[in-house]
Amino acid sequence: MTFCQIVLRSLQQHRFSSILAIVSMALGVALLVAVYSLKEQTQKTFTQIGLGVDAIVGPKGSPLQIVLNAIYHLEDMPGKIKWTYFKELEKDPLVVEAIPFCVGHSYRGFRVNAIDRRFLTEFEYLPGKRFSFSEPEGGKGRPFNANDEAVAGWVVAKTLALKVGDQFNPVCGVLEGDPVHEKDALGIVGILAPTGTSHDRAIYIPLEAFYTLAGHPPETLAMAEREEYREISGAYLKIKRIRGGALHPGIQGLKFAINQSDRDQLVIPHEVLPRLFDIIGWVDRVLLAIAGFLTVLSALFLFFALTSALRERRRDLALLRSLGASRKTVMGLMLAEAFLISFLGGLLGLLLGHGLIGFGAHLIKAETGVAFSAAYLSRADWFVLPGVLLLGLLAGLVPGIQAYRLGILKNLSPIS
Amino acid sequence: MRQKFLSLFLIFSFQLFLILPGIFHEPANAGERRGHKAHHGGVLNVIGKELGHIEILVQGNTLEAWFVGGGQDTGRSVPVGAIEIALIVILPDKKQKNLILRADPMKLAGERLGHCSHFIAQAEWLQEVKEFEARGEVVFQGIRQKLVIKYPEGHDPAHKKKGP
Repeated sequence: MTFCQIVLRSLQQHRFSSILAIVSMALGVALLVAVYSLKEQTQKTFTQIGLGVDAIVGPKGSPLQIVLNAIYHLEDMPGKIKWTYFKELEKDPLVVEAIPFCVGHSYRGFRVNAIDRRFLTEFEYLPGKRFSFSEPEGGKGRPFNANDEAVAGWVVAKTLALKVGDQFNPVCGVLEGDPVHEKDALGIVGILAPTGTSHDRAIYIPLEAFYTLAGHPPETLAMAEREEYREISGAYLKIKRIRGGALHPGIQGLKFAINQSDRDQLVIPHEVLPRLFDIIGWVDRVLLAIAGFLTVLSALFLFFALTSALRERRRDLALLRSLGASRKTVMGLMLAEAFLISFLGGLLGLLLGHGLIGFGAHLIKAETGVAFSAAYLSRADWFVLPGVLLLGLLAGLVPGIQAYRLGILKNLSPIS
Repeated sequence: MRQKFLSLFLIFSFQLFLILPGIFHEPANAGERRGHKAHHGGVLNVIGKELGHIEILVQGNTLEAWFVGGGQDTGRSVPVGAIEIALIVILPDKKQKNLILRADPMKLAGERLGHCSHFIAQAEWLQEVKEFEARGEVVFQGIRQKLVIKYPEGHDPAHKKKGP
């Protein structure tokens, strides 16, 4: 029998404990891989350049709240800004594009945002990528042109089974029980092709429609006619770039100037979101620690399994030694078993981990509209297998040394 | 001997368990350092006894100055009434140059001439200068204050005395 055949036969003989060791190691590795991959993908998604928004001008208040509302359609906007201030800001040489929007409406759990038409026709949510209505890409119809028209994001259309031509009445508010605009039926004229971003999770109506919806107070209706009275929730800004695509450093000066205002502020999403991850970063650290602990426990289990297997196989190993196998060979048999169990556990864990992500991705996409990929390779994918192999070898070290020191005579002497 | 190996193994495993999360740990963002932050990337020079600061930034032939709050309140602009501020600039070779800071109101901050925190000066010789000291005067928060500017190290005698 060859070396490998002996190792495999030994694993077969102790299949129960071997399988247990492989599965326990796989569970620890799967949890480690899944947590790390979701963490990396979440950070990448929530700080991705693909949001397309370099800065948001909004009312004074929590910058995080403004980012969560303006980009992820969560929370509420803490106030409004004057249209005249927005027009002044639009003239700043650093501002390449400024797209005003108004929030505050909803439909069956999804936000209805009033926004400038340029958002649908010119705004790049990824460098070089604009929203599409093309059918091969999963879209339908066209951008809105009139105040009674609307465009649905892909996730909204799929979840609510909305089609081009359907009509809906927006709710004036975002809470259950808020009043419905009974007299304002808006027609869906377009469905955006999926972008994999939070932009898929909202319905978009013309900015002017916000002011002309029946049921709003006279002051809101006056905003449609008189610019000096008009207010908006905020505006997405695209800022001039310098060599290498970096934001123009003057953005800090622009932010400083706007933040001196009594009622306005400039929020840069890339500055705000990493702070959020710092605050909640302890959650994934705890999960990673638990996953690491599980993996080490499984290595301990492997150690005890190998030690007890050695006790049972003393005579077999002594026989092997008497037939010419060296001390190093019998030690190698123990280490090889440990190595193989760890390798199989690690491999199974990697597959299980990615499978977990694939399963969770469907739920996350349904809830947040954000796409996660089971095929994404995180840092853990590169380190976990070598790490687990090392752990396995360590677990097999003591039994290996014991096998090395095995006495032939003592272990071949008759039992009875 | 066996027990020794077992103990060593357990100790190593426990250490690995402690280290494992750290291996994948990404350091938290440094974020803003505590203390005085120059919001425009310039250097801060204290006015009076920490009444405020003048932040100075030199780029090419342009010197920009912002009057901001004292202490850690350097993110708040403090408009002054001056339309021009005359500075005497002392170069490393002891030569002196005159420099006039002219008000450049930040419209988005609601400023105007006579109520302005941002000043600009331009001079060709600024392109050659790597360090300088400057003196001037300004009415800051109603009190006439001497301006002491040290570029690029900044001027804050109170913090220098306290040390790191």
